[in-house]
This record gives sequence, structure tokens and C-alpha cells, in this order.
Amino acid sequence: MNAMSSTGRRAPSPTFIDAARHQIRDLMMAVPGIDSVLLSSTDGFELVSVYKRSSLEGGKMAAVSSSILALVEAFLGEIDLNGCQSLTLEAENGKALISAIPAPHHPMVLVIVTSPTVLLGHVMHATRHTIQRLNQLDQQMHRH
Amino acid sequence: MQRHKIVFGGAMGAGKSQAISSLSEIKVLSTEAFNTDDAAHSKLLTTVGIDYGEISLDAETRIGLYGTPGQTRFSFLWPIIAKGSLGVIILVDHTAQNPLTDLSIYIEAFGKTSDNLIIGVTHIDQRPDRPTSIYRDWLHQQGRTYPLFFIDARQREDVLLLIETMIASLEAQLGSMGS
Repeated sequence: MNAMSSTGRRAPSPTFIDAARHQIRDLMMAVPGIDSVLLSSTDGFELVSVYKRSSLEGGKMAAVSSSILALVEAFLGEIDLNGCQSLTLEAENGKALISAIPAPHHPMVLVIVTSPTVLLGHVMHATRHTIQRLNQLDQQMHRH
Repeated sequence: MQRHKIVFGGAMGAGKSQAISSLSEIKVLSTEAFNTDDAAHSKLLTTVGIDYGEISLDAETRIGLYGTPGQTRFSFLWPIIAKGSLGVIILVDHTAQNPLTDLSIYIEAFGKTSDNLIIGVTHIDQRPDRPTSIYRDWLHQQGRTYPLFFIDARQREDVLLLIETMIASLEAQLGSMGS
């Protein structure tokens, strides 16, 4: 119990992690207002993190964001709204987007932290593309 | 109608979700995710948010049953969930590598938010070589006197015993304060 990192065979492969890191870097290049991106498993393990601000703790962010997404999904289920895709949090000094990646082999959570001035539509459009790519990678790597 | 809250804590795989499922009279709200850490436990799904169920003890008393995620990376949620509860039932997996360390972790964590702790040890039948007396001995060494039960989380009567003990314990505390 209480392992701080996911080491089991159910975790994504190092090849997938490398490919995901490339996708995340592409996302950050495409949208200059993104400060940090974290990819985690739905059970709260950090898989990839790329930060412009070093003060963030990836392990803690992974656990908290997976809980938040699961709680929101449960809440939506109670009000007959299914397939929670993302939630947006707006604070005084920035925004956070928490998105579900319903990849069939490794369902994941993507957390994006942005500056307050970033255009949300721009972030969401680019994020949708990244999620599609991560989904495709998950399926490709399980075919081989 | 009085509404109360009782929380289930303890390690992944100790039986918290099962206990709530065994007891709840409503469809349990669960926040399970695919468990990628099969080195820690082989089960496929694990709670990452809360479980929520309800049970009526009598016409006037309804208990909300709250399950917590067991892994310590989710410990930020424990005090949030335990706040305002009547008490916490700590479940310990008897087959765990070190169940006394687990017990120590959850007593330490939940003891900060509740004085009313009850311990339920599960999966006893799966480790007949490990004496069950280790828990009583350990509690005695620590100078702690929490109620201790050996239960099967799948058995409604077993889990109900924990709830009823918690209520009785509270009533006894209230009675002694009033006398």
C-alpha cells in the first residue's frame, strides 16, 4: 500500500510516456499562456509533468486532480449528465483546466495551468487536439 | 429526523467500499478509477474521491456512510471527509504486508479529526498463520483502548455491528458527560 509511484504492469509504458511528453511540449509551444501541464493516471499517479513554474508538486497535483475529476463525474452522474470531459477553474491569478482522457487502455487526467490572460477557447481547442493524440497513442501502442 | 455522518478509513483493499456497499440502503455513489498500482494491490478499481451510502438505524436516525481513498497520496482528503463526523471506522487488511504499520498510519491521521475511532480487521481467513492477537497487543502497548472487531466486510451484520458500537460509544460518552 501507499506506494508513491506507479510501478505495476498496468501503468503506461516508458515509450508511451516519452511520446506523451512530446505531445505536451507541442501543446505548450502552441499556446504561449500555458504555464504547466501535468498528465496523470486516473488513480492519481503523476506520469508526465512540464512546468514553467518549479513550485508545483506533481505528485500532489496528480492525486488532487484525479480526486476532483472523479468527484465531479460522480456529481454529474447524480444529475444525469454523463461523460464528463473537462472542468475549468478560474482564479484571480490564473486558470486551470482538468480534462479526462478516456483512453481505453490507460484512462488519464490532463491538467493545464495557464496565465489569467490566456484565451480559454484557444487552450481548449489545442487541448482537444492533444487529448486526441494521446488517445491515438494509447491505442497504437497496444496494437504493437 | 437526525442525520449523522460516519467515515470509513484504512488502506487500499481493506474493504471500505465493500463495507459501505454491504450496508447502504441507497445505490452507493462511488468514485472508482482504474488501479494502475498492481504492485500495491491486485484489484482493478480503487476509490480516488469518496464513496457515499446511507442507512437508517431507526425511524429518526439516518447515517451517511463516507468512504475515503486509502492511499496516503490522497491523505489531503481525509480531514475534509472526516470533518463533522460522529467518528471513523478504520479497517485494517489482515493480509497486508504490515497491518500494524497501516493501523498506526490511520489512527494517527484520523485521530486528529475524531476521538471516536473503531477498528475493524478484515480478511482474517486469508492469513490463518498470523495471530489476530497482534492488534490487541499493539493497542495495549500504545496505551490505546479503541473497540476492536474482526469482520467480513461483505457481511451486513458485521459492518452494522461497527456502526452500532460507534453510536453506543458516543451515547456512553454523552451519558458520562451528563452525569
